[in-house]
Amino acid sequence: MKKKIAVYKITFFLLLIVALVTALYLGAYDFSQPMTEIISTYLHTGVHTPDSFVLIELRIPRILMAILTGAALAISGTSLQGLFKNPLASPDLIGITSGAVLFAALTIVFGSTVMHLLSPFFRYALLSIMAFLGALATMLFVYKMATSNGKTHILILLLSGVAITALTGAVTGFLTYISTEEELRNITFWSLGSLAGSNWWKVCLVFIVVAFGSIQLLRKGKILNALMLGEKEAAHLGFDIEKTKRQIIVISSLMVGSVVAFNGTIGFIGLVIPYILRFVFNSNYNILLPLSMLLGAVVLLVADTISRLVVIPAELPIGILTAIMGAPIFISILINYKRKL
Amino acid sequence: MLQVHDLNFKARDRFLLKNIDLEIGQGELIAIVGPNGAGKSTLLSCIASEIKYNARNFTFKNKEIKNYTKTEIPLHRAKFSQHQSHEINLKNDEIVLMGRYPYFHNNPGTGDLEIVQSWMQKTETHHLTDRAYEQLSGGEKQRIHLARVFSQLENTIENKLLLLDEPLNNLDVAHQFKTLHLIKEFTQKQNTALVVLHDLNIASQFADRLILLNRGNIELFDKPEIVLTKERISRVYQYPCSITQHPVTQQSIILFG
Amino acid sequence: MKKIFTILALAVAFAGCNKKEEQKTAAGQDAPATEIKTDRIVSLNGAITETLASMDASGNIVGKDVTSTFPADLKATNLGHVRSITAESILALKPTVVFGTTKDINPNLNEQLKNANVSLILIDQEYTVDGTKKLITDIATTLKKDNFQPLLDNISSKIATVKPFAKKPKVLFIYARGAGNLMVAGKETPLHSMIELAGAENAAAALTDFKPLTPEALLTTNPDVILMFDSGLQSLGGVEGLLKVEGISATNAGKNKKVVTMDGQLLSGFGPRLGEAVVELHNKLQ
Repeated sequence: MKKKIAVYKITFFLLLIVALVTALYLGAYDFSQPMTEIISTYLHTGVHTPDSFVLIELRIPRILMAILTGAALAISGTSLQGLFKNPLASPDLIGITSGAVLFAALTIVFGSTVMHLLSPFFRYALLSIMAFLGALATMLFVYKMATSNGKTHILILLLSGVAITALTGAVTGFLTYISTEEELRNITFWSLGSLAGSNWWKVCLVFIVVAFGSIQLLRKGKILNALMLGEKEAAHLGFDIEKTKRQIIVISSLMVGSVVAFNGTIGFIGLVIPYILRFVFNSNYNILLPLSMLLGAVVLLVADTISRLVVIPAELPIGILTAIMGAPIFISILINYKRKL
Repeated sequence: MLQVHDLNFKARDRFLLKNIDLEIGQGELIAIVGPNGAGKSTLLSCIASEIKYNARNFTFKNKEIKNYTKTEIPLHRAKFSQHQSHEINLKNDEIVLMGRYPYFHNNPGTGDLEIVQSWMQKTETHHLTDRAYEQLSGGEKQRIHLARVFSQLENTIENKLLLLDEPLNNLDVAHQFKTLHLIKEFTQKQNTALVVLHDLNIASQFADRLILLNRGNIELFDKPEIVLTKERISRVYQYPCSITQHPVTQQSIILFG
Repeated sequence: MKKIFTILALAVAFAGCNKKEEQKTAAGQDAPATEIKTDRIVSLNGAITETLASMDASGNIVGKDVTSTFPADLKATNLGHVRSITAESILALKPTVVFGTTKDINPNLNEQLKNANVSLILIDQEYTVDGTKKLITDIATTLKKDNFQPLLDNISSKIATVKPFAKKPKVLFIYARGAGNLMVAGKETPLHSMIELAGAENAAAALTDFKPLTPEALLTTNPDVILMFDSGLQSLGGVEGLLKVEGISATNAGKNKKVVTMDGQLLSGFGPRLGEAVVELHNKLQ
């Protein structure tokens, strides 16, 4: 069993390296020099040439952002599914992404007067912060709804998430109606996602959030396994159940919120990656959590690379690609499941 | 080693347990018996700190039970619950391994794995190691969880407490007796076991003392031969019974009807 | 293994945060470009492209957006919709200057092009005659061309030829991207300005901006003429298809089958051909 895990870890890691190198070399821009030369020249002189600008300020941050986003969404999805013992639990279902998108839409439509007064940098920083706050606010609201006396009622949590998603969908739809055309197109970005705006600042921020969050979540393997026995049984093994629930909820919303804030909604990753891994490893969270990060990173990087290449020189919104990749996998999962019965 | 004074448990303005006083020593196998609704599972849950009760004091090995930390207590006390999950998407040995979670951080040691193997042998579930949990019969699932709970208390600490809520349900006769012998072995090492049982005869055969609960109160807490009288049993269980002697062991046997 | 990963990761984070500072200083040290080189131009707006072409700069245009349909024989890479263009695709053409409008360029792209030290000329496009004249003037100044006055005069003179209608027709502009997606143009749209310049009345003037088309709105506004882009009417399947839309056949326009179409960029571009566009629209509305 240990050998099997190691094999998978190494395979996914190699896949990630391959995807990374491939993504580095593919794109709309043709480099006139080998990449190693471009990088070393830049490190020597500290001044950008057009080649080095595209490579170092556009392509590399975007690739890193894809890796971080994929890993964050996958591990958040895995953790939430373990927490709720429901393979359909995902950040989208709890309402985190909807809350983030809603706050972003509100900011675009009602904050436009304020936004035009700000310089561009602060304009998008404001938007990102609002999306992040939306994720957190939704999460806290849903958590309060579903918690009483320190105990979380998981069914109510999931239903609250469904209700929030419906509500935010309606409000966002209404905003779409009353907004002017250009603002509408911005909202489309939020609901379909794009990594095109990635830069080192964003990568830096997302990295800190993802590093902190994943270090916490990677430790939750044993307790998520134990939760399958039931909350009382898990408590008998020495785990602080309520604290863990709070931690997982807050950290997932932090990670997903900040990722949606910078890249818009990218769906399916948090749902499909753990699902796939479970077919090989059952629900052993000690294995699922780290592998989901790797597989999530690979999948999103591949999806982003395809999105950059398929309609050159334009780009397909990445949310469309993850949906295209996610839906057939779901169907094949169902077919396999039916065969086993 | 276990002292409970004046324990009460109330749910929705109704007392499920009242005025419970217990003094239990080490090495004792105590059976909790009584009719349905008497409060047996509730009592066990209180002792397991699963639910909030009121008590004047509750000491375990001369220390207030509240003063044991969350990470400390699993090494001293384990509980086998009556209702287990039907679906756990893990292999059976991984489930038993969970009993060793309090003992390792990331990866189990060889000692942990050996303990798991050993208890799976003893509960006769070793041949089920690679099978999926969901495919097991009710009795087999039960024995997996027994192995897990026993594995949890496999350590060098003295005077441990094992709580079992109806561990014999779904088990066939042979396995029932094997399990009881495992519990007896456990108590013979100066550990204590509190077992909720339905069958009065099995209880009297294996237990050192019986707690007879009736409507939330302790009817009597004493040796089986003292507790099990025809008058008392018929009154508490509200059904006529007679007592006879086992043809081989000469022990008292209760027959209802 | 974990330690190595953490160290590597921290190094990346540190490098990333540092780069931002370095970049700022590098950009600050470069003297702001007073000389805008115009040998490789990327134009992200149809009106701007037309203006550049009319100033003999079409040979320098290496990249254009999807609305830059005129001149039709322009040899430049089509970069697609300005909202989904990435900095990389623009930079792949190695431009010396990028022209765009303030409203269409998204802030991220703006930022990235600035950081790439590419001259970015953003024009605040106003959909009025004066606005168009200003656009032409601004571009001419950037290109250091002096002979742009004829372009401005051309617009003024053509519009002056438009005689008022005996009876102002009520015109409704419908924007169609397939039958499921129909919008009408209220005020504060380029179409509204065009309709008024042509001497007609916008049937949907009570609305602001583009709003979804409803049968009730059709009946209350009851336009005499329906105006559409060529491509829009095509996507509905011609006039027959348009008449099938609920409410259309009940309007004056529907009953008389009075449907006028024009090329999208010509009609709403507000570029140098503004004069011709107004005249053509006026004539078609009679």
